[in-house]
Amino acid sequence: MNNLLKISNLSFKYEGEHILKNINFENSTGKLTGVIGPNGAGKSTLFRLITGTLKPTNGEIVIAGQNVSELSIKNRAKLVSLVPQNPEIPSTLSVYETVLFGRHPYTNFLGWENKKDLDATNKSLKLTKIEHLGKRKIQTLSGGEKQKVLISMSVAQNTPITLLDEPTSNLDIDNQILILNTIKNLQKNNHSFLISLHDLNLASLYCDELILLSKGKIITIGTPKSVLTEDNIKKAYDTEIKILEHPVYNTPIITPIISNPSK
Amino acid sequence: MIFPWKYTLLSLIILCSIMVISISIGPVYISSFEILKIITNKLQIIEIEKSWPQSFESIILNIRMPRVFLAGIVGLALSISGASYQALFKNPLADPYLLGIASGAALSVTIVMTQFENSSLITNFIPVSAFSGAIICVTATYYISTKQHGSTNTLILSGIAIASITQACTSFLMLYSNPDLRPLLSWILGGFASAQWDQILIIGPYILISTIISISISKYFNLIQLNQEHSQQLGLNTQKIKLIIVINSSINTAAAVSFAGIIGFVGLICPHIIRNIFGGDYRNIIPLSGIFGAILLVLSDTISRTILNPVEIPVGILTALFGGPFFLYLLAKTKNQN
Repeated sequence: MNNLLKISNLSFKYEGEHILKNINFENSTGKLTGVIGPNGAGKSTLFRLITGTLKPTNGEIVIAGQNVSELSIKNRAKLVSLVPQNPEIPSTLSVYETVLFGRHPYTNFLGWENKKDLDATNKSLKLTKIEHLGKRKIQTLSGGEKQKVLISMSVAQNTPITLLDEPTSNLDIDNQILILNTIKNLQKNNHSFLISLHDLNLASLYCDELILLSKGKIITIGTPKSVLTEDNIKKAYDTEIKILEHPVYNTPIITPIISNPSK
Repeated sequence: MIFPWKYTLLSLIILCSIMVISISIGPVYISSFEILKIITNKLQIIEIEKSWPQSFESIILNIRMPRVFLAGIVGLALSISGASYQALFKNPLADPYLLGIASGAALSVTIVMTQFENSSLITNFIPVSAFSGAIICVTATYYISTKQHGSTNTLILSGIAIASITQACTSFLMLYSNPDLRPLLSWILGGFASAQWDQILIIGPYILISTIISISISKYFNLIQLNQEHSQQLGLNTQKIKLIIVINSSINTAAAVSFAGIIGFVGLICPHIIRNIFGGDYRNIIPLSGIFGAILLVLSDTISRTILNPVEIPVGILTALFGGPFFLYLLAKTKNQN
């Protein structure tokens, strides 16, 4: 399915100020698209608009042919899932019970699951390679394992697109790689992801496409090679950098230039 | 985990056994076997030759059974509403007593009883007035605590402040009430000494419906533990579900307070113990802590009416005696976790 996500003329104002202005982009199935930009660029607002938590001031968001703002809260949850940046998961729940939350959009009006939901939960535990953690309590997990549980929950939600808000923040390099590899593996099943990342080198390494945001506007969209240029980064972040080439993957690597005479 | 049938049935069997033992204990000891014979005979299930004195029938059917049944359903209601408020406020220290909800319901009942003492409809009107008091107090407690950033401790402190104010008003009303009415009002301090079948018939349906609703929506109790944006993203209308929980739990609390007065800490202790044994899934916590609440209150009432025989201690004093230190333990534990 092409044009899985289509955003047209999207603007959002808060207290009279434009947080996002005239955003347009399309995203096709099976892509891992990174949303990058400095703090306050509007990445989280863009995600909240796509999930329907916020209503746009102007424009529309269409996912799989359906306008997000016209859908019921439950139908919206069947189209787009979210891995939030600061989740609150009850620490005494087991991993299995937490992943089962992802099946909520498909449950009856009392929210009770059937066998199909239990099977889907087992499948998503398997896909994210955390079956062995099923019975463990959330409070006993490491940061990386918790993040995998959240990703597994979004897989159980079985939506055509998943939004990941800074999934690697607060993680060590090994866990950052582990999480991004898990996402890359899921992408092979034709699942689409929109991921916001602060680490530009990880974004360059893993994403098929990047959207560079600054001050609520899109600076540019394209492959990591076309987006991560010295000019674009200067424009978005107001920071001097040099671009190198990754010795193995030939992707751009960002190296900051610091104005410290002693170096 | 869908519904804990096995544990629910097992705990129901324990509850029934404890109820029978409790009915047998009193100034006159009546054996469990005889109790079962009397009940079977009364229900006309099978024909049994009457081998017991008439006074036994009266003691069991009119005095001890209504008392034990009232203690059981009040324990169930308080424990389930405690668990529900804990889920709603994401706070393990929430309890209908500590949040001032029970005291608000009691004040409302006192107002109705002192102001409309001659009305014949007063008994039926008690649960409704208790509900209005409960709703006003839970709203006030929540509003005050959110003004202070809604932390664990401010919620409890607001509740204690509301409870103090409403309890002071209740005491004032009792002091200036008709002297003939004062013995009738004494149950507000917490106890089952004046339990009657009529009272069970009035509050029973409220507690039954409210309990069924709580168990049915217990999955939502789990979902609202996530942050609001995340649970909405999973397709949950959080505002609607929170409103249902607050109304339903307040009905349960109000029904419990209507004829048993203020009995503290049951709603705090039971869900906590169940959570420690069975984990954080509210589909376990709601039904099992309800039954555990019934067991705890039937046991507490049995102890309170027998330990200093012939003097009876109000059961509220006994639960506070055990619940107070338990609350302090939880407070210390929460502080350490923070």
